[in-house]
Amino acid sequence: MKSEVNLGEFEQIVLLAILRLDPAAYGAAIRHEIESCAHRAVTAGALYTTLMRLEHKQLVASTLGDPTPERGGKAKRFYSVTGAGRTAITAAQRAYRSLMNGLELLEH
Amino acid sequence: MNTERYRLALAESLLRTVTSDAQAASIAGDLLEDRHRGQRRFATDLCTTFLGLSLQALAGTPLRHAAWLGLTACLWALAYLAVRLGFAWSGWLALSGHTGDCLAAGGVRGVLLAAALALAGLITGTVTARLARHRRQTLTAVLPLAAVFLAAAPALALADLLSGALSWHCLLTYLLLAPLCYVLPLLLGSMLGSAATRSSPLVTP
Repeated sequence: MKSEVNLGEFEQIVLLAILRLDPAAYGAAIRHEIESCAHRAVTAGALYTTLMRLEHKQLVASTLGDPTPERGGKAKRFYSVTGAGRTAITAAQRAYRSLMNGLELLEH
Repeated sequence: MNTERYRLALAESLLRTVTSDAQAASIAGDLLEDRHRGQRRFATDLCTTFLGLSLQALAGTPLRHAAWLGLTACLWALAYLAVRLGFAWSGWLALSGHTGDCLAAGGVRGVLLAAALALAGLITGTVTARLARHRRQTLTAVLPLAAVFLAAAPALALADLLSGALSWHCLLTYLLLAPLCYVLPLLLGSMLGSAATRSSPLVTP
């Protein structure tokens, strides 16, 4: 049996935000994207621990950009969703849709 | 502008103790970029990130943490013994004084007893950070011992309470002594050791 990666709710949100921002997904931008799209406050601690966990699971990969003056000369770390990450998020969303099917919750 | 530079340096040096240098720098840059959220939010974000990364580092590899706990406990005991012997040799403080009595002792003797504890923590933190420098998670190495110290204080208070021996004085000793004399110096020492490691020409960044 193929082993599947189980994603938590916040992990899915972070993966979707990275996909939406691609290729400009870095910490601060991901946070703004989640706050503006999902209308929920995101603590920096939750975001960075999730990003590191996703990277450890090899669901996201990161590369360092160039240092910028508005960030005190610190480089941005850009995140991208890997193939395994895309498979995991697709499977998770399919499971949601399958469970939602017939409930008609979205119409109310 | 200077304030921003100090905030950035503080954030980076704090985060560097729980994650890699590059990761710490990029997170510090992210936090600075969100400067429009205000200083309080910057402090909250830094604290939650630091706590989150510390807990994440503690969550895995229990065997490694047990090894660090054993090593740091031995280092702390040796450092404390060395400091007490140093104090006794210089004639500042007799060897017989018990550390738990530093609040009861009061005055110079109490301060010296507390200083002995704090110095032992600082030395242990600094040495451990140097030993853990290759992992680039210098604080993670001292966190198990810090957790034991923090857990011991309420446990001892509870034991005293159950035996009917708990007084306000004892409770104050447990509540003040553990964080100020045991845990804080350990963490500060770790940060000092981490900073010294970075600036050392022997360690390639």
